[in-house]
Amino acid sequence: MDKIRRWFLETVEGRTLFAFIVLLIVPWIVPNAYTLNVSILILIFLICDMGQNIVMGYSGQLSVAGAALMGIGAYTAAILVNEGLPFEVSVIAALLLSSLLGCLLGILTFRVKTHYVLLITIGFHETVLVLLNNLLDLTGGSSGMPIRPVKLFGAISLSDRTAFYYFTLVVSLLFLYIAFKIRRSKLGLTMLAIRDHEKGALSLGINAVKYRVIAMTLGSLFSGVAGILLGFLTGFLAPTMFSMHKALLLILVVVLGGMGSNRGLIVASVFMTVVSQYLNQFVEVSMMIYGAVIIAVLLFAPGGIEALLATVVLLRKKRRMAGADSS
Amino acid sequence: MEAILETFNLTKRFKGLTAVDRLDLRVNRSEIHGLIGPNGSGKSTTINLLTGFLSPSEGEIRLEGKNVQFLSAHRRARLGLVRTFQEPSVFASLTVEENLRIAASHAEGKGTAFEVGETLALIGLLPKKNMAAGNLSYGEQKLLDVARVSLLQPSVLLLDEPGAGLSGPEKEKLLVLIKKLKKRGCAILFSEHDVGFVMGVCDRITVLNFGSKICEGTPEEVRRNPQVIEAYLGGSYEHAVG
Repeated sequence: MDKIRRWFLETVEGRTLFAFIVLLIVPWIVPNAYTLNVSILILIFLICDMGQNIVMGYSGQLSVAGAALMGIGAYTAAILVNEGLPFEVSVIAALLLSSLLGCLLGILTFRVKTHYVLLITIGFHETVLVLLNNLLDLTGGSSGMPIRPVKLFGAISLSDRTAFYYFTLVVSLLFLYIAFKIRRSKLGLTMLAIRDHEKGALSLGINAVKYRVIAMTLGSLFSGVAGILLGFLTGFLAPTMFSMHKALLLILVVVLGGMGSNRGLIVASVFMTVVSQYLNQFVEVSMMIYGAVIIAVLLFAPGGIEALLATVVLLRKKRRMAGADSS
Repeated sequence: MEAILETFNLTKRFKGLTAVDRLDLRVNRSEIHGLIGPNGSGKSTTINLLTGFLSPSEGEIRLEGKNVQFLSAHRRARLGLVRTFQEPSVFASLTVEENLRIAASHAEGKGTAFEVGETLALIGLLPKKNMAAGNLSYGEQKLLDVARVSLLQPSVLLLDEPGAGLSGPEKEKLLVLIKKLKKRGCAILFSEHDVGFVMGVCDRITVLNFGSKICEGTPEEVRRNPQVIEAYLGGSYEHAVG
């Protein structure tokens, strides 16, 4: 018994399986519909946080376009579904559009870095929000727009929360897998290399612009997916769901997780989604708290949660070695 | 001797200052070529111009007979015109091994992946291969830079003061790397302050002063050139070399 317990808690395979089982039984162990809803939100925000991590953490571009791109994905899918197109077709079209816009944004910002990318993406964000607020016939403006209930593959109703949970789980695990895969691949290493020392990368014959555009495109794809899921979860879209507030939260999660780290990001993302659910009651002060957290992390723990996790792992290893010595 | 890298009338003006003035430089295949001169004589600017990190005001740059002055830095690197910088340019958050693997993976079709381990051993960083490159000492980082570009199998390698800040044993390792590259047919152009080092290693030397070439030749010829002694070695050859 003890052996099984240890296998689950101490080996990588065991832990993964353990986490997977927990994720599978969530709909049965949550106490109420609200908690299930929060669980779905955790999975959705994990996807867009991963996207922001690819843009900001891997390739070092300070972009706030994440929320606007989520909006593009969400609205495109919703409008097409409301026009009577099948769910799957609408989703693919929405993902193509958000990735394409991300790619264009990457091409637009190829000559500039850091704070200039920030300025351009702020412009992009504001433009998108102005459009969402004013294209009344298409988006319903600031009063928002309801989305027709949809069926997945024409059979599974996504209005059922449990079905939606499993659908989101499959999608988010898929994108989690992609994000981890990229991190260890030539593509991910090259992005990190460009972030660390761009001239050094150029001197190896690496086309830095190309990789930045790829990062922006991939990040936008992740944002688009999250936006679409969020839209169909709530069944209603309003421009405030994709405000600058949301864009800054994306940045906060990446900073908190430790720029470019995947495991730190997962912890930070889950933590922030839960915390923001509670802070939603105090919208006015929540931004102040987020701002203070960003400053505190940058000042006192610039490595974020990743650095904390690494320290814990190191300490445990040391202790185990000390234990082995004494015995 | 066949020239691999040549410049004609290469000129760079920054506002009022002419940093490089009508320079005709010639680097032959698989030779070690030193670029020396006092501070501000245009060595780094020349290397930046050659590798595409600056664009010339006038003049031509030819790599194996082809004009390359309009190509961007990464495209010149792909053609085999590769450089390092005065300051270390390692990818600080990646491990030492990943720094080399990246270079190998971008040197497509040159079959260099298997050389990563060998190169690590050569620069003495095999025990530190899983360390973040940013945690290496200054000298180790500069060695890693040279090791990294050597995996690209360049045809011309430009090193901007590779020896500066290196300890004695590190300089030895640098020399081993340089000589290994030369044996493979790579030409090396490097700028350096340490005159003794340059005289000992180079096949030919070009001396710059105020952006112009004042002398070119074997170490022996350069040593005897009165203009060099006047401009660079400060009047007294005995004093400077001794």
